[in-house]
Amino acid sequence: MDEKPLLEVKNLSVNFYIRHGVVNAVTDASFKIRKNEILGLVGESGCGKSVTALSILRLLLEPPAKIMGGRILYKGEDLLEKTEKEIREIRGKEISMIFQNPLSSLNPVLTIGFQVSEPIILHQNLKNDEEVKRRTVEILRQMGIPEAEKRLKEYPHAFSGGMRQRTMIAMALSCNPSLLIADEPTTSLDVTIQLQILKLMRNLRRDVGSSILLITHDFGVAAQLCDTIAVMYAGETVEYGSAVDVLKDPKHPYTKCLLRSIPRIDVDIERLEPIKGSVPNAMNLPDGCRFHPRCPYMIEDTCEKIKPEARQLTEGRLVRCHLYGR
Amino acid sequence: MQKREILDFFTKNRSMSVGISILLIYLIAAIFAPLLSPHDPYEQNLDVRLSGPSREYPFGTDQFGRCVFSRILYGARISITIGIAAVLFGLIIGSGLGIIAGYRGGLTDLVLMRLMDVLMSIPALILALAVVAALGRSIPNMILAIGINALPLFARLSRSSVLSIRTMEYIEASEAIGTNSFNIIRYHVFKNCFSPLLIFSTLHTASAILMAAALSFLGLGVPPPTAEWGLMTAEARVYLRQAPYLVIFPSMVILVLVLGFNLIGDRLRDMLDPKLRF
Amino acid sequence: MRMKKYILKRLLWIVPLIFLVQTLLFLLLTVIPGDIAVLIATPNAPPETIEALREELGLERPLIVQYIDYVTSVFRGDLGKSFIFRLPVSEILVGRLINSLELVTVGMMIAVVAGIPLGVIAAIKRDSLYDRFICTGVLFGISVPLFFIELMTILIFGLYLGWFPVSQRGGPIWTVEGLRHIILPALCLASICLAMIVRLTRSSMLDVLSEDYILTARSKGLKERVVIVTHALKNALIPVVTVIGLQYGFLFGNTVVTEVIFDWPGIGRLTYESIIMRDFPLIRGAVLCIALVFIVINLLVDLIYLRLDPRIEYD
Repeated sequence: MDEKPLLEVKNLSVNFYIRHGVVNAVTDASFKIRKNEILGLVGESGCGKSVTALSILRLLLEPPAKIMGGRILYKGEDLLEKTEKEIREIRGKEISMIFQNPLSSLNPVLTIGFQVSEPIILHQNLKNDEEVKRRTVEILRQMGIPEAEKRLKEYPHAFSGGMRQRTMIAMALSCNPSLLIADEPTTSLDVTIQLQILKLMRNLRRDVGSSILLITHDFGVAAQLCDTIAVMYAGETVEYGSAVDVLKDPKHPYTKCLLRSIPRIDVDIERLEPIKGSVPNAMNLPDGCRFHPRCPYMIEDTCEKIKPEARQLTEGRLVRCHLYGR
Repeated sequence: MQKREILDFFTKNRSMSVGISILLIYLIAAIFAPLLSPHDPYEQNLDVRLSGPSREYPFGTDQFGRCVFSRILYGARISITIGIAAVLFGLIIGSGLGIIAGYRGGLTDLVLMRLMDVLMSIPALILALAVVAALGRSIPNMILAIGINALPLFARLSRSSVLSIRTMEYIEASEAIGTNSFNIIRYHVFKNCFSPLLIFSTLHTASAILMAAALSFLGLGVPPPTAEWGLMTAEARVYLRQAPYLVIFPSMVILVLVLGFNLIGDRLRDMLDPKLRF
Repeated sequence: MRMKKYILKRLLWIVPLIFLVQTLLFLLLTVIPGDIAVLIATPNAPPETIEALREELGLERPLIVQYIDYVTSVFRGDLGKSFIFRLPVSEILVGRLINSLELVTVGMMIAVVAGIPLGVIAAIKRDSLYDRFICTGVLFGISVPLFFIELMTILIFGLYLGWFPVSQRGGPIWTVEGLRHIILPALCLASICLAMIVRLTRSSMLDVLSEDYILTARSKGLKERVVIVTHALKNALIPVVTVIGLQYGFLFGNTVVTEVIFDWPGIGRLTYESIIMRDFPLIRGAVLCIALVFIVINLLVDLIYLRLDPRIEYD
């Protein structure tokens, strides 16, 4: 457990400067991923989890985005301090990424073969076109694309949604990255395809030994796949711990409410409870604890005034809440 | 409160307010031309022919000693009339044809739309030239010649809108109980198409004015001695070297008016329908 | 296979389209003007002269006979005889058409070659000083009357500086004289089309740059230049290509003005002159010829479009 983390995000904060004002997309996100670990970053849409993921690879467009502070340590080096050239060496080779919508993530006018072979040509020192092609076919076949060799010349529109996501994963894994960032990889897919893709990702960790940062709004998906879970709310990580702990014994009121609001088979809940109120506007966040206006356990005179810090409860278990002392 | 909102709108939309100001100035010039012009636009004064801008003649005089400034003021009437009338012609007839084609379907649709294809297969200015060649030179004929080019665009726009509305349940319901759905469709087409129609009309007015100027420049618009900007430029062509201002003033006046319509049209598009490209 | 069928279908559609264009021209330029013999005869010509003219032109025949004769003879390649030149229209047209195609194509190429990079750079440097400059330029470019640009060009580069000749064609384009003569009219013609191409390239590029697949391309570690050229540009050019066909027609219309101003012996000036001289067979022939060129160019552009966009279904 005291192994050095592969990736550590520390107090990351990102703003967007748009015409109408400043959006605090991420204000304080912290978590770590160890080697061969799957971390689930869970939260409602708009909580800043995708922005966090994009910040790791420095894929945010600046402007309008600006990273205000924090550190992103990968193998001990701060990615935020790397030059453009250095970060390009990491993208696709060390850390790669798959996106939410496989339908729009592949370039419609370039062939599958071209798109999958691109990172291979770029990052692997293969001698000739033959080897590039062999590697391309191999990775596509591993991801379960039937007749991969024949399909190299096809365009994305000839592929189904599930196949496109497999292609995306193939592309991301073609250079055996140490870390795969998967941003809602199954959200836009059918349920049966979702299961296949999740299985694919589980096998991946087993076979290749990659770590995965899984971004999802779905605790069900996180429960199936993740070792560790970080919960995000309004730009902050509010709870961090092993998947079993967080799911079985949530500490932060937000996690509790969130788990109570989704249907589960394993636990018998009489009635689903929606969380009262709505996600705060990122341009006008509440003072003190971000969750206090919606929190059923709010402590008067404390939660609305003082911003809680993340506290360690036990080894590897962090909660940002006044309920657990100041 | 409301006044403030209007004021706010204009300070935030600089290009829109510039465009509207340009249009207002031209409208005032057109309406009050007799009051604003220092001379009779048709009065020749051969003693002062081709004299440059002066206090008496702000934009100078032409080859017959006529006051260019006064002629430009009167010219605003013709250009604005032709530009707007041509687009209105295209808008009314074009969208009418489109609605009929979409509503009747079948053979009517086929014939009308193929007819639009024919109009589209002749470059706009060439078609306008052919129409003027057939009908002769006059303002109404120019309006027709220019407006005919706008037909296909408006017809296609309203037709596709009718087709999308036809499948709506309320139309099916109204047809099922046997009421005349034509009027319902017509109403909804205009409601749905309002923003693209408005945007295209504004932008098309800009190109209609340019086309009218080109026709007149070629001597196939209004006959001389009418005070019309394109015609004035054409007549001044011979004196390009001696009196370039004779070309520059009327041309600049066209440029600014067209710019005004384009500014408004662009801004309308950004506000109402950012997906439209043109 | 499907592609071939599609092309065949498009080619076959040209025949009825030409027929419809002819019908329109017949209605416009034979029926509406009334008695053409009166129109083209000298104002005070005696009735016998007009009668003889009518006889010669075949105008005394019923309209329907004239119509059928006109339509069928065009499909045989006979466009009639010019009133003024006393020559077969087709003979007059060929050389003039080639001269115009030369002018318009050179103008179009200038506009495309200059317009696409200008638009791409404006999109990449969105909201920068350069971008604002380009956007303002575009706005002026689409608002300025072509004859104004041309007269000013003549005034500055021809009359004041004397760098280039300002009238006539100087021979084939690969000769120095040919190039010197075509440069000013082609640049002027290009300028109005340039604005449209820059504007469209810019907006199309902006759309593409916000697409997910651009993010994918960046996440692979590709250089920004590769992302722009390989991944973005090909997508961004699809709408630009479709518009080039329409722009060709736009230029073919405006070349009338250019050819009149620069005294270019093309089909645009011929159309203009035939209208002024009321030479109806020549007008019909020239307009039909321009329409045919426009139809063919649009077909070619559509075929390029098919090659660019693999998503297209051919129907």
